[in-house]
Amino acid sequence: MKGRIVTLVALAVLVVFLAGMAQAADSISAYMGFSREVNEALAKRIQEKTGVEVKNITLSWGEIWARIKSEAPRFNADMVMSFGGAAAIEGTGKGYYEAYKSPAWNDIAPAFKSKDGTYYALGTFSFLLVGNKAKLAEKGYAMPTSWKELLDPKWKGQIVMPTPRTSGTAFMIVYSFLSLYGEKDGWKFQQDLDKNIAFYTKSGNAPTDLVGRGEYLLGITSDENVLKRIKDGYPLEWKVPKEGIGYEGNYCVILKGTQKLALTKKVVDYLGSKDCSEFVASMGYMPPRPGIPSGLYGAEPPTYIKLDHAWAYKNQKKIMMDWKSKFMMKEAEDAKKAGDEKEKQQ
Amino acid sequence: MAESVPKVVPGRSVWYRLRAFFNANLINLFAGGLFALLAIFLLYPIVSVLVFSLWGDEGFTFSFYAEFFSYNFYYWSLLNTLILGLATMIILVIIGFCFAYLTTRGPLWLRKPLKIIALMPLAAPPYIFSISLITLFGKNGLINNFFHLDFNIYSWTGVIAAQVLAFLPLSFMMIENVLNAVNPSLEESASDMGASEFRIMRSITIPLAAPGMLKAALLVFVMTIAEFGNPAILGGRTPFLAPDTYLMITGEADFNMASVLSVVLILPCILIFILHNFVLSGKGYTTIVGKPTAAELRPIDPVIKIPFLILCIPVGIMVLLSFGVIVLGAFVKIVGVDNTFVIDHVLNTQSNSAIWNSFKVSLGAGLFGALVGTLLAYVIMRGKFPGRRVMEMLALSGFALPGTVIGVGYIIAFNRPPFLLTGTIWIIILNCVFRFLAVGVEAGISKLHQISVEIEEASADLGADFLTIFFKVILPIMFSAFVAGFIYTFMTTMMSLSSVIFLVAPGFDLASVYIFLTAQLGELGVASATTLKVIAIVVLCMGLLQIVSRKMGLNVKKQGA
Repeated sequence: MKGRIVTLVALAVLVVFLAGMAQAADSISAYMGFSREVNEALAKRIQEKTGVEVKNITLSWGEIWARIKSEAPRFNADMVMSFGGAAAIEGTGKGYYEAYKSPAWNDIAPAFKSKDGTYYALGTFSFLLVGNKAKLAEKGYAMPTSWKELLDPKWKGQIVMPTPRTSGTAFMIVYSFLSLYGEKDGWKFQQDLDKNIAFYTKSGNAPTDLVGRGEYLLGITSDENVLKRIKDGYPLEWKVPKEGIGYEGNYCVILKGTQKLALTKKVVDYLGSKDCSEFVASMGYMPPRPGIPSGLYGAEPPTYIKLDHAWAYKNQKKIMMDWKSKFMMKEAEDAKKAGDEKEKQQ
Repeated sequence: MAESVPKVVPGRSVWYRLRAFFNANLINLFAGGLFALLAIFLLYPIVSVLVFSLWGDEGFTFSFYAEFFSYNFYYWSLLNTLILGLATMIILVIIGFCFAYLTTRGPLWLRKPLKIIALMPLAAPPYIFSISLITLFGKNGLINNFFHLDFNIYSWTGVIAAQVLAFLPLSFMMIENVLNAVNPSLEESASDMGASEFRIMRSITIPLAAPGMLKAALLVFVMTIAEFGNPAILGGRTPFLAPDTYLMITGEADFNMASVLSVVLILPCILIFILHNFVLSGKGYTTIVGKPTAAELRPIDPVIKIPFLILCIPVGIMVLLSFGVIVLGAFVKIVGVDNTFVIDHVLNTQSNSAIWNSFKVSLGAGLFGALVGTLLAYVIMRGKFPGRRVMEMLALSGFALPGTVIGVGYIIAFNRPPFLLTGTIWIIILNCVFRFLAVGVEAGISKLHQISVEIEEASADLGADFLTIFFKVILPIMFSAFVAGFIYTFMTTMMSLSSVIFLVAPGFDLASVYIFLTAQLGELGVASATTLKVIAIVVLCMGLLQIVSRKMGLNVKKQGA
């Protein structure tokens, strides 16, 4: 008897509380690929300046792309703010995005936008070398000033960097080295570097935290969180090695079939404004509008490695396969060797 | 519905005829409905994923499978995954049994604290343990620094330790449920005749509990190999299938390879499942005929108590330490770096709406899941239609599937008519209901395994019709399974991440996703504080449930869960 009452009450509760979610009038929804804090701050800023509420969700670039691919042609968001160039270009080819020639972007360099107005770069970010000040001092090591210095055996097991399998940052790191040293020497450099790498992290920002917490001495990491972590009080220092660093755009698109086209256009217009560039710069990114100092690098842009993004996107699958066979099979080989030796002993 | 109903009297009301109809066909109606639900919400998304593993840009192809077996970094991850699953399974069955034995037969003062410790990890997302372990045993970890150890947590030891901590409650709950149901009078009579406690345990308790323990082992194995957070964070350079699947989608956006990896991940689960059914067949123990009698408290033999405690105490300490780190993290600036006391993290209200959303989803999923799970268990055990095995397998398969895959399966399957669900709260609820169904179903089946069908037959002989039996005999018997299913689904949904991360819509954040994102970015303070709030809510709900149940005369506490 009592079991029945509980069941009935439970059912009643279930029905009552699941009443639908109300939708606000002047709002759009967006998949956002900056770090969570930046996403929230940007959404707030957009609402202040344009009156459009941006319901957002923080996702990794891979996740955004996975969602878009699986949701097409019925997208569950109106916009994407910040994802990779590969997805921006491939999605344009598949007709996923709405083209809109925003007048606000007229006087911005063509590197930051597509010709037909399907995608715009809100800014660019890079990767850096970071070190743990306290631990380095403890060991008496100086912060390296060039990538080559990382090959020194004294760093063995002390460097962490992200894996390109999961992190857009890491893929950028890999093809930056390929561009810097040429394909053959680029792989050679990375194979030598691999001997000193403790392991490859899943997230492009993870090395910042691992090094910040003193787990490892050095990290090659996305520049997104470095500023914030230093402000938080982590004993971190960062360096742009003299060979330079790579860069990648934070692209935004309007997803085709949105019910809120007018509102999304208003947002894209705002993203091209000086105010937005200032905001993006204050967060440590390099803004599309020139002459605005970045919160991290200051007024002077850092030394960049010359990159051919189009080549990298086109050969992504091959680069990935090469990377996997070089750095993941290696371990398997080591394990096999160890096994063989054991067998021999027996 | 208390009065017994005389047989057909012509001209009775519509209600009567309706009742007669339900009486005759209720179990089949349930079976049909449940089959439909399972087909839509489990089979359909899984098939969608399967299709993806065989369907490239140029149509039907086996090339993705060929790729899997031609690169050793793929098949090594399969091997690693199996080793991880087996190791965790063996450790957890032993530890789970020790905990459950002590909480059901140990000294009274120990029961409650041990039980609370064993259930605590439910309240936190599994990957929190990696973060706690790093904070404690990392290269710059609190304990490593304090004792000057050079212990490497980014290793097999680390992954297995984190998995053991994360899935302790699952193993404990299942085994405790079984041990509770073993008729105490058998043990009592053995004891009265002079058998030692060790002998009783070996020849009565364990054999009687074996089917349930095997089930627990199966679930632990399946859950462990499907969990991606801990191996992803602590695995270092060792590849595992579940994180690889996740990475295939989130990193490389390669659905085809991800689907292949998932199919490969499902195979061992199905194998084990078949094996387990084969081994179990013909071992239907019936120990409860009539009402179970309350056990008389016997002092536990130190020969058993001491080794059991030696096994349980370190695990318990690890659980407490892990949670201690979370609490510490919520109240200090940066754990291990800057240990000054701050209150900001806790006062941060950003996560409140996410927590509220999680609560709604979990409540819905818990109630709906427990209901469906209990009904399924009943239909599977007592129904007489063909295909019951298939039904059981289907119901359990939600566990075997990595959350990532089922999440993507849901996007593919439910983003088009006739089931247009994406972007609604329902898709998250349904996803959680069908993924976590197994615990409710298993709890129900274990319960029914031990309750003779004679009770129902006796009621029928006394003139009760099926509806009366259903409400007055079956539901009360199944109620503890219902509660177990509810609690498990509620708690896991609160913390489930891998599939909902694909289903959350913009503006509808969930606590688990929020914690994951903040933890991933190293904002351990906010992550810890949010985890703490969620734990508080879960504990509050469980407390409330117990009070309500007690008021209503249902002793939930004693009935497991």
